[in-house]
Amino acid sequence: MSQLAALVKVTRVDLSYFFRTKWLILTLITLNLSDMFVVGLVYTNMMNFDYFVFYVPGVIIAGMFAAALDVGRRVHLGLSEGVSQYYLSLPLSLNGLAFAHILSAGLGGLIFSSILLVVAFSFVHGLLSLSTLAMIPFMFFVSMGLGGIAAVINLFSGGGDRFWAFAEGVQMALLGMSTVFYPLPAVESIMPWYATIAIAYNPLSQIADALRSAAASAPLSSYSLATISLTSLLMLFIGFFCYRHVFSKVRLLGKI
Amino acid sequence: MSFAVETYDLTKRYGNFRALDRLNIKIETSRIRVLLGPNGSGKTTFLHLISTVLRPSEGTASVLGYDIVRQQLQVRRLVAIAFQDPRGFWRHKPKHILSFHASMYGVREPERSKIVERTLKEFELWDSKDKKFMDLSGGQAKRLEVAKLFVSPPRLALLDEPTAMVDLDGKRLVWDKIKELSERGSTIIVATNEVREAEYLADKITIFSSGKDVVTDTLSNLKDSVRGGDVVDLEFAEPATSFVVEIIRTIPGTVGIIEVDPRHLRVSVTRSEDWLPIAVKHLQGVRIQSIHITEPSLDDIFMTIVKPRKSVA
Repeated sequence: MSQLAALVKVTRVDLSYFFRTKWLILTLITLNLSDMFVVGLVYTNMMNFDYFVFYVPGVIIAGMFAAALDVGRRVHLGLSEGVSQYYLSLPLSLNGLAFAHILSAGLGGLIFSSILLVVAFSFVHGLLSLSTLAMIPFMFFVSMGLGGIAAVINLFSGGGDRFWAFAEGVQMALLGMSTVFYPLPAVESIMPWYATIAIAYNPLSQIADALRSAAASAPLSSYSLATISLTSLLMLFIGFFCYRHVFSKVRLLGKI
Repeated sequence: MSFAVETYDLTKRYGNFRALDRLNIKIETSRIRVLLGPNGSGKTTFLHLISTVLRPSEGTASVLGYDIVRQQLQVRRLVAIAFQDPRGFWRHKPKHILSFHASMYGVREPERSKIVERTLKEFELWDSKDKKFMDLSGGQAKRLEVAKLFVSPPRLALLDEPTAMVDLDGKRLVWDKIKELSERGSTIIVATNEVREAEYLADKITIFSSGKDVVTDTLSNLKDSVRGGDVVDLEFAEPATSFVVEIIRTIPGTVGIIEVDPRHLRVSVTRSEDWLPIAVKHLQGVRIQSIHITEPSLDDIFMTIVKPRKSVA
């Protein structure tokens, strides 16, 4: 049994929880889609630019964030209920276990956001193009990075039900400090320069803006794509070491 | 004699509390070793340490030739543990849980499905195969936890209170399966505080108390060595006075006296056939209601070592 095969099996178990709540996921997707269509299309008719193209990537990224954190929450439940101790008894290295949990969060976020992207953009003629579909691998990078954030929350939230409180706080901060729902010029007018830089380099801003460019058939900036990949990779690595630390703590103390 | 497990000053601390205190123990290959002890005596900690679920604070152990600190992955490939509290995936079905476990140890399809089906049937879980783990009864969940070890028999199987929450029929079923696993060559370590379980399963018994192994031996040697060879229960018509206790203490062959209640003394003696005639002679005039001679049970040994009652001699 190779480590890669074992890692894939743990990832599948994590993800299976995501699909076992399929009615919840379906409801959330429907809510997000109705939000996109009602708000996006109505506001488009009220404004002098295509608000739908601006708004849909925002909802896609917010959905990706929520889905990745939900898989992270399952890992947290596993830590509380002792399932992690079971994992620690299996022939899988600590590194493999840490990466499996991040990968499953990344895949959870990707699946949720890709469904939103394809359905929303299919609905409006011409938006679903090769360039929008080409964004999916980059969405996966970002989603993996968000899986890393779930790991950071797992490290700091400890036992009990603090995960959700921490997750909501982090989600609000990272989405708020981004261009997911507000254009950068609007942010620049009210934020100090250093906050504006952080907002511009936030991978959520980068991926949302890249999706908007792709939907508008504008050329994609390779600098932007490189920034997305690098910042996501950084979050992933931080998350990886956080999970390693969490599991080392479980091995040391018997609990989180 | 080869050993599946050898520990070297194995210690586990949680803050200032020593759950396991410089344990040095050897467990023979292909045998059933039962760890007997009260709650909090360190049995579970020991199992978690040698399965690498926990990391020792000090010392180490060799498990099937691999070091539990430096060679965790090699240890995990050869060892499997059935936890005290079943560790299942709450929304998964028993067949998926066993299938996942088997796959982690490299059992491939289509053989895996056949093994899972056979194991579910053997553990009388087939009718519940499509229930979610969270809907299983306590006994079913426990049997499922033990059944994990049978879908890919490990070289070292660790079972923590394998029949807690299991009904009487279920206990016998699990015990027989554990013996079967041993006959197939696995080394088995069972942690329990059920004396009957220890008597049924053990090739050797290690009694734990306060994070230390107090004694290790076969059941028959424990019976012979710990508190003499026989136990004589003396029941008196009136409470036994200190004078009576003193008479008994001076009788050659008396090893120990436990006051079960004021009218009931339990005397450990080397050989009851030598001891009894002398005792009857010495206790003339004392109104004895009944005399029972028994071999010491593991209960007696366990209670004597781990939880001494009021000893009067």
